[in-house]
Formats: sequence, structure tokens, C-alpha cells
Amino acid sequence: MTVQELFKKIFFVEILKGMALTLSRLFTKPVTRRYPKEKRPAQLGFRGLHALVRNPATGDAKCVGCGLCAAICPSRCIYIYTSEGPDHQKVVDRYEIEVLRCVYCAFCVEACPFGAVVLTPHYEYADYSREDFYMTKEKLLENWDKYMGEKGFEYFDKFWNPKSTHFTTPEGQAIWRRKSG
Amino acid sequence: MIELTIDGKKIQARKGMTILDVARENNIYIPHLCWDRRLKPYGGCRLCLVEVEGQRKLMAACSTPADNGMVVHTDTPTLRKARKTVLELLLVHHPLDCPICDKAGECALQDLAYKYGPSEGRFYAERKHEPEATSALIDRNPNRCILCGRCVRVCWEHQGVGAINLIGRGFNTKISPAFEETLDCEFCGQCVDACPVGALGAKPYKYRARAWFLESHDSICPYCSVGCTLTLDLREGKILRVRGVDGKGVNQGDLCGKGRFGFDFIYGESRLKTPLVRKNGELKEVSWEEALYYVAERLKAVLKDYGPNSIGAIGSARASLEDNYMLQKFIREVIGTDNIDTSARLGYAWALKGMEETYGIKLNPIKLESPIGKEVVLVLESDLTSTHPIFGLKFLEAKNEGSHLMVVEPRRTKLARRSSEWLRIKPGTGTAYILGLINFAIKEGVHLKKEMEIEGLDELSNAVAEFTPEKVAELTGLDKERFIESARRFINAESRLIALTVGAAENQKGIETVKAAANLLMLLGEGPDALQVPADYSNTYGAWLMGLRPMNGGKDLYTMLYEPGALKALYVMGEDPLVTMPDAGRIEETFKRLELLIVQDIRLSETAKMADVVLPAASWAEKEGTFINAQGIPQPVPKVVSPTGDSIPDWQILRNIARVMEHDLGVIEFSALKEEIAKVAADSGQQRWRLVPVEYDLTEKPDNEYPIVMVTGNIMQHSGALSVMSKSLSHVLSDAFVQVSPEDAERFGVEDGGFIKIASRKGEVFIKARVSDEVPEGMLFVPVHFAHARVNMLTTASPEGRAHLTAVRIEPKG
Repeated sequence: MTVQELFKKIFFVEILKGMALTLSRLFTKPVTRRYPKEKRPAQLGFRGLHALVRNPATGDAKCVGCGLCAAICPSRCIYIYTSEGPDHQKVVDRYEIEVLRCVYCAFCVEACPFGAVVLTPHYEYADYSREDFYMTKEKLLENWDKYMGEKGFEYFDKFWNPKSTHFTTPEGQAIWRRKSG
Repeated sequence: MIELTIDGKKIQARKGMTILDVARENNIYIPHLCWDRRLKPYGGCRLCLVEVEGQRKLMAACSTPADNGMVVHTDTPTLRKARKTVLELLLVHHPLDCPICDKAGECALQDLAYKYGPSEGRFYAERKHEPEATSALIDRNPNRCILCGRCVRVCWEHQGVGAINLIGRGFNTKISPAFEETLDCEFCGQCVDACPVGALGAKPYKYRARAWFLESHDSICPYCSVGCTLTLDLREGKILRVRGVDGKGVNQGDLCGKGRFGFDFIYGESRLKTPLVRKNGELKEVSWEEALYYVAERLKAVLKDYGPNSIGAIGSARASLEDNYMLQKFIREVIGTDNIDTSARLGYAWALKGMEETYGIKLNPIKLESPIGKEVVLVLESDLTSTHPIFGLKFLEAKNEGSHLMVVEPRRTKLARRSSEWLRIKPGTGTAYILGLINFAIKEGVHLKKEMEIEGLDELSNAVAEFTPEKVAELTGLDKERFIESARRFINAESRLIALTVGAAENQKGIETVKAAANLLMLLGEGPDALQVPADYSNTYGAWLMGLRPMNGGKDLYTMLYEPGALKALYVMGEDPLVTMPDAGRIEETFKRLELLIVQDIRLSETAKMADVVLPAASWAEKEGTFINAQGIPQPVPKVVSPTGDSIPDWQILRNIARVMEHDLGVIEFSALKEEIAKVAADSGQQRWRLVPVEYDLTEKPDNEYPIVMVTGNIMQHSGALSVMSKSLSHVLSDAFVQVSPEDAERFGVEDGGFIKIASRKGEVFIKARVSDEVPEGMLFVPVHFAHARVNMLTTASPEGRAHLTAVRIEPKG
């Protein structure tokens, strides 16, 4: 042991160095966020809770029940049940997502030809029962109103750049329009 | 044999094959949309274009015959470009509504557009047809149609109906029934399977699921005895639709309306969910345990008081082999009696008996392909395309391939309409016609040329001596020359075939018809293969093989049902005698005098309503089993859905009752049961030809008081107890009706759609009239399977197995 080392040992030099750093930090701004009180906004494209896009024109979901989201879903957690409506149109009776099984890959959002399903930036949905994580069509539409709303379209279009914009039927192309609509 | 080269591969082919046929046989892919195996080449879609060396233009593979030394290329840049353009043109007016179209995922156009097509079209146009929504079962959206014409051709060429066609020109062309009316056809749904896009769809399936949500299972149809393979598409344990898959099963992908749409009887509202026991005059829901102990006790009491011979059982022609085997095992081993029978007694049993008396054989399974290639095919008073639709199709196919199709039939059935020669006889005189043919053949001495001796010729020629052409003309109402002409053609043909059904619901044919036909064929040197009599229902043949008939002098169906007091207890499994069997009044009386009536069924039938105990059985598709079809081929029927309510398979019910009665049947598991059944040997007997004289006489002759002859039978959409439970089939036809000829309608003041009273010597019923020229003057045709019509209150049963026509009178309901 050299004299230098002995000196350090006797006078706690290392500890004092550390304490000096601690002391200096007392006078700087803290870097941690006080999470429940202080919330951090999610980044563009954060894959949080699911929502079904509400069509402002009809007030109902934009979803037509094509089932592409369910087809692409790797964890098979989307269930869609459709039936024939009174006007012989296709009606989506149930659109359900088992959130607990979801892996948040967002393939469903990419597959949707109508931009009707989205993952919102909302991430605080811990709860006590499994039922709360079984999203029905009503809950999913509510999610849209709560967490996306009007600003949603902008956010949605900017980040997700939904395929529906690419696949818009050209003007004049045959589409099936009903007389009434 | 010829040799050609496709894509550098040397291939042997038969002459007459098209390039597409050769390519398909050798697993070379050529895209196509309008081609169908069953139809003549059409060359409409231009997708199957191929390059043939030495030819300047591209050739359509589906309609170009393969030739020796041909060099064909199926995939070149030129072809890909041509296909891309063809698809682009097809998509000009095809709406891009794939997200809501039910065909998406299994659409030929979608797949091809994905494979070859452009991502964007250069031409735009729009068709504005309104989707058609009024027709039953079949949904048409003309906007999606690509006008390949497969539905039109399958309907006319293959199905022989011609209900739809292409109407309009250019952009306005669409598929439609005549005058754009609501579709009114037999609803076989063959067009739905033929459609490569989503222009035609099955209504019960509309918007129910996407193609990729479905899982498929193959099963056997529970309706008629053809035993078609159905492909059931399930989602989450519920059958959503049935498809025929090209090339699969005995039907090779063809299906009739019953098979395609009738599967939903298993979801019928009247399905039984729990056992019921009659308490204070009412059927009350009880537990299985209570029901089983009740049955066992009551059976034991009857056994003790009256002995085993007072107990009888009726099996089911629709239940599986295993269920029927278990029933006869139960009756023979636990009860110890031979009183067991099925509905086959009323029909198919007579056909077999007739053949045993003549040909000496005990079984005569049909062959589906038998009509094809025969010079003359005679269909005797049978509506084969209704009772056995897929077998019936073979007759149309035979005619298309050049056979002479003779239809001896009073009703204007589909076969009569599409026949080469339709002999419209008076109802019930088909036997007389055949006897006339025998007489004619003997007079002509045709049988002498065959140089063979069959015993009984003299007796037969004496018996038929009175059936001269004049007499036959008088009896059948045919022209004498017409008869002679048809007789010559039949007798002098190189090869021939007689087909008829002897169904439990039919009353215009009997054992004498079968014997007459067999006599005629023997005389002409034809073996039993030339006489095609298909069994009735999905497992009529199997139930017969399993010994569901008295074998040691037990009571048969006639004794059990039509002799009140003959039995004290009756066990009815999957049969509804009160609706489907003749002389229902008598049966009701028998049931009233029974001490114990046990009904084991899938639904609360009319018979079950009279029962003391009703036991719920699992139905087709809810349990494993085997059906033996009319060809004698055993086909497994898998379990694909879970049983309704508390119902369990029939054989398990019987096993459980035996256990409660403290009798070990030695069968606990399904596999053990199957092993036992495998040991049951079918005895088809030895051929020993014998001509037997046949008496011909109508049992009930029309007279002044009862001037009209009533014929009963099955129709295209309904056959017995299952089909009336089906919601889909009831969309087409749900109400009982009687067909009245326009002449009779005028004579008796009957209006189309009005209710009429039919009175026979047995009783009277009220029923809706349909004035139709399908029936001739002096004949009524009425389907029997609508329980509310109670048509069988009018009819009589014939314990001798003869034709039992009913003479009736009609009057409008006042």
C-alpha cells in the first residue's frame, strides 16, 4: 500500500467525491417525471388502446366488416360478426377485440382498407377484471371519441398514412352505389 | 393417342381433348373463368389464351382441340400482357366492393387480378343495376357479374332447367329470369357454386362470414339415398353453408336444393332438448335418469304382462347404420322379439321382393352412371329429378350424350320436359304399359332371338295376353300407334335401362310394377343391372342390411301400424308415421290403443305428441355414423357440431336403456359398435331368373262419386320429416298444396290458390289448390310431408305391396 492510497483511505476521499456530486445535483432541475401527476404525451404512432373510427357523416363506425384485420391478426384476437340489414346492406353486429391477447403489432390498422381501426395514443388502461379488456364495438367507438376525437383524423392520417387513401376508387370507376345513398 | 408439347413437356393425350383438358390432367396451370368441367366449351372469358407455335393469334385453350405435334406455351410475356388486358377489361365495370362482397377470399376474379392484373385500370365505366332482393335463397347482384355465363349454362345444359339467361345488350347485359321476374326455379343452387365471382350467392349465407373465417368438413347428405358429399363450412361450431366441391364424392360436386340449403334443419325450432314424459296427460320435461328408469320400468311391465311379442319397434331410414343396428340389437336381445321394421316396408322392400321373385337376387344396388351410354332409357312413372336429384341428372346427361330418353309419366316432370319421348299415361297405368310391352315383345318373338330359356314363359304369356296394344291404349290413354312405335324402339334397342322409384310416399307403383319391369328385361335378356330402383332415403339401404325387418316371422310394419291392438308397446325411432305413412287415421287409432308409445326423435313430431315418453336424439352432423347409399357404398358421416340441448346419439340412448334394464349389450363405445357392424354380412343372393305372371288392377278405381285419382309423392324441395324443419327450404315452399289440372279446375270450379276440399272414401281434408298443367285431367298430385295438411288421412295402405292410388272428389271450400 502506498502513501497515497493510505491517505485516501484515512480521509474518505472517494466518499467525499461522491457526496460532492450529490450536493451539486441538489441545485439542478430533476430529470424524472412525476408520472401520475405529470403525464408525458405519446409520440406520433404510439400503439396504445384500440379504437374504431367513428364516421362523422353517419355517426357509426367506418368499419364495413371486411374482416381483413381479423385475417392478418397474428394473435387472432379480433372477432367480427356481420349480418344482412333491413335494406339488404351489410351490418357489423359485433366487432370485438380481446385486448389482453393483442400484441400491438398494428397490422390491423395497416390492413384496413377503410382506415376504420386505429391504435390510439392512450396507454393508461390497467384494470382489475378481464371483462374490461374485452372491447366491444361500443367501447371501441367510445375510445375513439375519448382519445382521438376530431384531432384524431389529423393524427391518424399523418402517421398511419392509411392504405385507404391509396385505394380510393378512381372517379368514374364502377362502385356499388345504392339508389337511396 | 396423340402427343403434344406444353411448356416444353412432352405429353400424351387422347384425341378429342382440348388443350385445357390436357393441361389440367398434367397439372399445368392455365387460368380460366368461364370453363366448367360439366359444360361444353364456351370460350367467353378469353383468360385461357395460350400461344400455339405456328398460329398467328392466341388460342383459347378451353375450346381448341389438342392436336398431334402441337407446341403450346402457357406462360409467356405476350400471354401475361394479354391476360392483364383481359382482366383490365373485365374490371372496367366490376365494382370494387370486395370488402363487402361475400365472395372475397375465394373469388376467381380477385385471385386472377391479384396474379396478373393491373393495379389500376385505364378505363372506367359504371353499371347501375339494382341488386335483386326478392328471390328466395339465391341472391343476385348483376353489377358484380362478369357475364361468363356459367350459371346460365349449368342451369340449362347440366341441370335441365333454364331458369335464367343473359338478357340485354352491351353494358346493360345481365343474368335474369325471363322478363326480369322474381326467380322461380327449383332452387338447386348449382348456379351459386358455378359463379366465379360474387354475382350469385346463397341468401342464408349472405354477409354471415368471410371466407377465411370458415373451416370446412366433408359430410354425407342426410336426405336422399344418392349419398352426396357435402362440404360443410362452419364458423365457431355452427354450419353456415354447404358447398359442392368439384370432383368430390359420388356426386362429383353436384348438389340439389335439399342438400345445399336443407342442412339448417338441425337448427330447427322444434328440436327436442330434454327428455319428455307424459304426466297427467301432458308431456313434461324430465331428466335423462328419470326418463330412462321410466322407460325401463314400463317396458318391463309390458314384458311381464303381455310377453315380448307385444312389443314392436320402427327404425329409421334416416338414422345412421350404428343407431339402427343398436335398435335391432336392443329389440332382439333385450326385449326378445322380431317385431321390427322401417318405412322401407312401404316402398323399397317391395322393390327388393319383386326382384327376388324374378331375378332371384336379394339386393340390387343402383349404379349412378348406369343410364349413360344406353340406347334407350325408360323412366317409369318416377320423378327421379325430385326424389333423387343427382341420380336424375345422369338421365339428362345420358340424353345429352345421345341416349333415347323415354319418360312414361302422367306428370310433366323435369325429365318429361327434357325427354326424347314423353308418353303421358293415366296415373297408375305404368304397369299396364310395361305389361303391354311384354305382350308385344312375345308377339314379335324378340325373346326367341336371345336363345335362352327362362322358366315361366308360358304362364307369363298367358297372363299378359289380354294386354294387346288396343287394351293398353285404352288403359293408359295413349295413342295405339304411339304405343307400338315406342314398344318397337324399346324392344329393338341394343341396350336399355328401366329406372323407377318405389318410395314410401308414392302410391302409383308397387311390387307388380317392379315385377313387370323385371319380366320385360329378362325377356329381352337384360340382367338386374338394367333395372335401377334406388332406395328412398339416406340410409334405407343400410337399415335394410342391418336387419331392420322381421327375419323370423315377426310382425312387420303393416301389422304393427294398421292392426290396432296387435301390439301393446311400440318404440319409434326417428320416424313420423302419422305424417309420412298412408292411412294416418288408422295409425292414430293404433297409437291410441297402445299402452306405451316411446318416440325417440330429433324433434317433437306429430307422432311424438302422442307418445308417453319422448327421448331427444342427436341429429345428423351432431354424432358420428355411417350411411349406406343406394349404390351400396358405406360412407362415414363425421360429427362436426355439438348436440342440441341434452340430446345424445340414438345408439347411446338404447345402450343406456339396456343398462337400466340390467342387460349388458356388450357395446360401450362407438368403435366396438363399428366392429360388430363390420361383421354383418350382406347376403345379395344368387341370380336365378324366373318369369312370374303379374296381375294388374287398380286398387281403387275412380267412379262417379270419386272421379279423380290422387297421386302422392315427394317434391324437389321437400321429402319427409327433415326438410320441413329447414328454414331455408321453407322459404321456397312452406305450405301444403295440391296440383289440379286446368280442366278439372274448370269442371269443379277450383281457383288457383284457393282452398279446396278433397274427399276420399277414408275422409276429407282442406288444402290449397295450385292449378297447373303439370298434371293431366283426372289426376291430383299432392306432396304428403306437410304435417298440417294431413293428406295421409285420405290414403290407404296396401299390405300386399300393390299400387294404392286414392280415388277422390274435389270441391271448392264453400
